[in-house]
Amino acid sequence: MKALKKLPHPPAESDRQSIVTRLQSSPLRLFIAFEYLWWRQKAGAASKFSWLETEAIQILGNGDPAPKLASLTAPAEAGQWVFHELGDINTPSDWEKYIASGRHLWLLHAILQCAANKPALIEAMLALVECVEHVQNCPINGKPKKTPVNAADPQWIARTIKSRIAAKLSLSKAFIETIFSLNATATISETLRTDSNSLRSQLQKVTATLQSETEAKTNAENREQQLKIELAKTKQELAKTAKELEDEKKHTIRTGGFSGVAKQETVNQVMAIVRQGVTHRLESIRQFADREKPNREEILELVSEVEKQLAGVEERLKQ
Amino acid sequence: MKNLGIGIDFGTTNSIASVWGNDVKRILQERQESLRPVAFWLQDRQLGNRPHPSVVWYKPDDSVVVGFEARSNMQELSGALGHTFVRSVKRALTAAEVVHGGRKIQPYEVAAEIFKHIKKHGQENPIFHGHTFQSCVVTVPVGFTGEQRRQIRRAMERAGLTLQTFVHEPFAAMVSHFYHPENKLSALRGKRVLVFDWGGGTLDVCLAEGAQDGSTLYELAHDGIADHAGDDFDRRIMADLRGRFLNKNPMLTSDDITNRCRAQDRFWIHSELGKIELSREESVRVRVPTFLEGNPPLDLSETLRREEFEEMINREVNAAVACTKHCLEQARLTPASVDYVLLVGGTSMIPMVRRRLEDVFGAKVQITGEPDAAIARGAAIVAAEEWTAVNSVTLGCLMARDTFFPLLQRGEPLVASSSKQYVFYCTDPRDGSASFIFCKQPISGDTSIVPFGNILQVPVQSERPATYRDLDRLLVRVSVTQDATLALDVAHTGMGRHVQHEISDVSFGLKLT
Repeated sequence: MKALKKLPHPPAESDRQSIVTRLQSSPLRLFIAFEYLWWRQKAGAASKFSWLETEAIQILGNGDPAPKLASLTAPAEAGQWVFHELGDINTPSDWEKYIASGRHLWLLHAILQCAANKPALIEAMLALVECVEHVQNCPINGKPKKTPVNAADPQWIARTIKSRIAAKLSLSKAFIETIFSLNATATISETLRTDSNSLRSQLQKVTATLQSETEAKTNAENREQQLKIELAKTKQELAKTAKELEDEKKHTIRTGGFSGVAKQETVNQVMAIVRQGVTHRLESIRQFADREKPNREEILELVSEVEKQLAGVEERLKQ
Repeated sequence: MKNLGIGIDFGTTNSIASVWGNDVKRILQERQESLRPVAFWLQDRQLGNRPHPSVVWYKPDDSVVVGFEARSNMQELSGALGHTFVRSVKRALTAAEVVHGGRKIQPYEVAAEIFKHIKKHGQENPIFHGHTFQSCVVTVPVGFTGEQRRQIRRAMERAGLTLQTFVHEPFAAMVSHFYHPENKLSALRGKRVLVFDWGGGTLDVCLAEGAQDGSTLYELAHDGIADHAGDDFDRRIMADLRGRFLNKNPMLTSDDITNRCRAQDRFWIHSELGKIELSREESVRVRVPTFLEGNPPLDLSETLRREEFEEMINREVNAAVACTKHCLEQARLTPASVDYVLLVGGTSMIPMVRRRLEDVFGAKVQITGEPDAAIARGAAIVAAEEWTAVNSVTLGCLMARDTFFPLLQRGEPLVASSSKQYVFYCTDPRDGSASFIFCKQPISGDTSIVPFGNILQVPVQSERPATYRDLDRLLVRVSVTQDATLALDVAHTGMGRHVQHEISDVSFGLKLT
């Protein structure tokens, strides 16, 4: 959603297409579509995002036309729509399948459309409660379902009042129905809140993923840009160094070799290397030779080592 | 800049002097040589340019020989009647005296002989024409105590030298490496440098930081290892070669080597040369002609491979790297926050050492040119530029309610003129003494304090006075000594007692302006 909100206005066709493709391929597409439509309803009809509405309805309703319960002239039609929608749901197993398919989001979307039209909302809610009760009271394997009695359950209180006290106190049917309605509304409200919370958290996760991906992409782009700049700088430095090297080369050719300082330093270095590598070997040769029985083998090895040292010095001088 | 400044690197194994200044620059320009301090090398036939070995030889006729000649004869004559050899005196400056011919010789007197030798050798150099070898900057290891510094100063005075200032050895090496005759040390502005100085005697690690304005070089932290360095590695190579020799000659025992070997000195030199060559070659053959005398004489000839040598010193190298990391931890820094790592000293040239440091610091590792003379050259630069030592870490003491009271601030000069006087009152005299707990603020810009050294107890009247006016009054005089230590003189104004105390753990940097 954040990615959606960040889009420039008007969004480019490629961006639109990208969002639609990503939405269609997402495993959470139903939830995202539901959240989007609810957001649209809450935030008002911002023309900036209207282009996605058709696609969201298409995804959420799986091809069904939009219910548009809010604009119905007779509130009872909202209830009828709910009954029609849940017409095939008779058992808890049906209900579970219905929820698992995500179709309930379509139902919730339709009911939430009536938020501004209170009579239609009540009708739709009552229809939903009746359907839920119908499912709850459905016999399992032909036997009526036994539900445990909960003294805190307002439904149970309402039934008790209706069945036992109503006759004596002549409580009106409307009063009992009001209690029913209140209770059902509370239950539905609670269910909706739970669903909405779970949807919201899932949506947040999706949004966070989208955001981190966007950030990673931005970072990568920035880094690429930085590397390009550094590369350009290094190339410049390289060119400068090459030029300096060329100048130095020309200067060396012009002066016919090294300058006095460099020459002296080179001589000193070479002498140090020769001294360090050769002198003690020559001393050893002398000691191996200057005795009654010279050690011929060691002398020859030392001579080859001295040659190697001198070759190394020669190599350095060439460099 | 002075016309001539003298720097001396008084080392455990070798010592050398160097000079720098306007006159030196002029001479070098005339000679068309590169402009850098001149080191007074010893021209050795076998080893080339070498510093002077810090070995003193007292002969039976009481004459004294210092340097290469002393070292050459040390192995053969050491233990002979009437001959006394003293080496590594720097490690034993505060140890017991040496006895020679029934005469007791103090360690500082031995050190003075080395200074005299360096002075004599230096004065013979034509660069000294028209100058006197007197006032000089001397380098000391970062871990030296005030007492050790005092002994060095005494030795110098005995040798007819005067101390201009002390400089830490790693600092001197850093100055030598980054100094430019025109731009001075501008390359170190706002930079952090870790100096890894591993020579023959000690390992010194020092972390320094240049001030942004280029006015000061501060020491952030230091650490070191005193007893594992190049000389120990030489001895290890010698022990290994001796073992191989005995394996090849099973009829011989180690006693035979002790009694019949007259080539100990050559053996040492060839082992050291082998170690140096191993920094360039994968393997080296160490040969000692006539290792054992006899008929026929026996020669030592063994091949030493670099990996064998690295295995010998692996533990010490690990300890050295750990020491470097500890130094960084002290300053709460990471390897990434260091700009340069400078390797100084002969032992730092071992490829394994460089490799291991590169594993930690990457490509920041640099090697100073001519590691044997870098420290002396740095000292000569400090002497010629007349840079002075400054305090790097704020030192103070803990007052009532854990309040830190600074006695010597970071950046204050370490010269005698920076003495101060304070009056303290003892608010809790119940235990009969006023306690001075010394602390320092080791991290610049961080007010956290760390206690160090011993607690100074000054006797006071043990009864708590009724009025504020009657509190014990302590007059504290804090002064910087010539040995770059902090001397405290605490006087109880009521009882008239004086207690003296010295703080030698002073980290010093350099004031560059």
